[in-house]
Amino acid sequence: MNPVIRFLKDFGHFWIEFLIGDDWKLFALVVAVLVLGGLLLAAGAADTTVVLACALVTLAGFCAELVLDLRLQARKAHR
Amino acid sequence: MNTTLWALLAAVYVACIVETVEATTVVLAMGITRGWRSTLLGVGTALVALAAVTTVGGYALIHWLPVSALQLVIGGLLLAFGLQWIRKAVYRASGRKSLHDEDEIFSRQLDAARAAGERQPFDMFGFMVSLKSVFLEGMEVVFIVLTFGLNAGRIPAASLAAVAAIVTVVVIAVIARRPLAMIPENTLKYGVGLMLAAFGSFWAFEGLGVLRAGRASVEWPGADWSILALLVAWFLVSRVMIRALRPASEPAVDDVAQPSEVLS
Repeated sequence: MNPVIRFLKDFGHFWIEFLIGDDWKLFALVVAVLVLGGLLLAAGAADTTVVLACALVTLAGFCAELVLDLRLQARKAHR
Repeated sequence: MNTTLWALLAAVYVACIVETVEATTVVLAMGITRGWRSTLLGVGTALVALAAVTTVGGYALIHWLPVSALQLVIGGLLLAFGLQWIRKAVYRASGRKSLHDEDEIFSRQLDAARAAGERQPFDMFGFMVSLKSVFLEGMEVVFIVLTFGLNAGRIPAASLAAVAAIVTVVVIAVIARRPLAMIPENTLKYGVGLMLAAFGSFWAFEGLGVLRAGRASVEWPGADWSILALLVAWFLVSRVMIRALRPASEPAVDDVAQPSEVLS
């Protein structure tokens, strides 16, 4: 492959890897938490409630994602 | 200078050390096997491209986005970025993923460079590989400097921390003339992941204010002190997950890793 084309392809791949990473579920978690925060604000929740709820959901979601990811990997390995 | 600024500078410095070490490993391998002329030309071209991206990107972000939108977008990206780093650190420390090893990467790069065939009058392989490596690792440095610098309103200080990190690594590499495996990269990546997640959560949730009338940022209880609380929370959660994910039958990574790589 032409080195320039390979560089452009790698550059595109880099941005996907950079922003979404090798586990899209974590990126989805961040988006979901921000949507939740937006909904809480729209519902008139106090600032403290919004930031604490978002922080707790992110921490819990991160733990759940790691456990889920390992289970998926184990299931793949069994097949 | 306040505590938040020191924490910010430390995060930028350590993150840039990690990225520069990774780029240096590839540049060293190319320089040794393919010759320094094309390798250094690749490095120079990457640095010029990075300077252009930083100038254009920084100008656009400063002038086009309101503060709360900047906090939301940049904080969200930092948080996503930080979660990826913590995830890898948790897997490495619990023995689910192999440790990052610069010596092994260096050896792989040497093999690839030797297998790439004869050099032309100008060695395109060495040029492109070093250009790509420095540009892609450099983009991460630019991202970290711009995000931390813009949100804290301290671009010059963040840039200075990044330059100090690059100079530190380059000086050590020139003296050592080998990959910098002695730098405890796994531990540094874990620390950077915690800081990215803490600052990212703080700014992203502050930035939600862009969605309400007046676009005023959402206030955290305790203001900047919340960053410290977030850092502690992410640290505790990561330790719990390392312990929980450790396979029962295998020895803990802390028992088999080099002393400098122990994550506790």
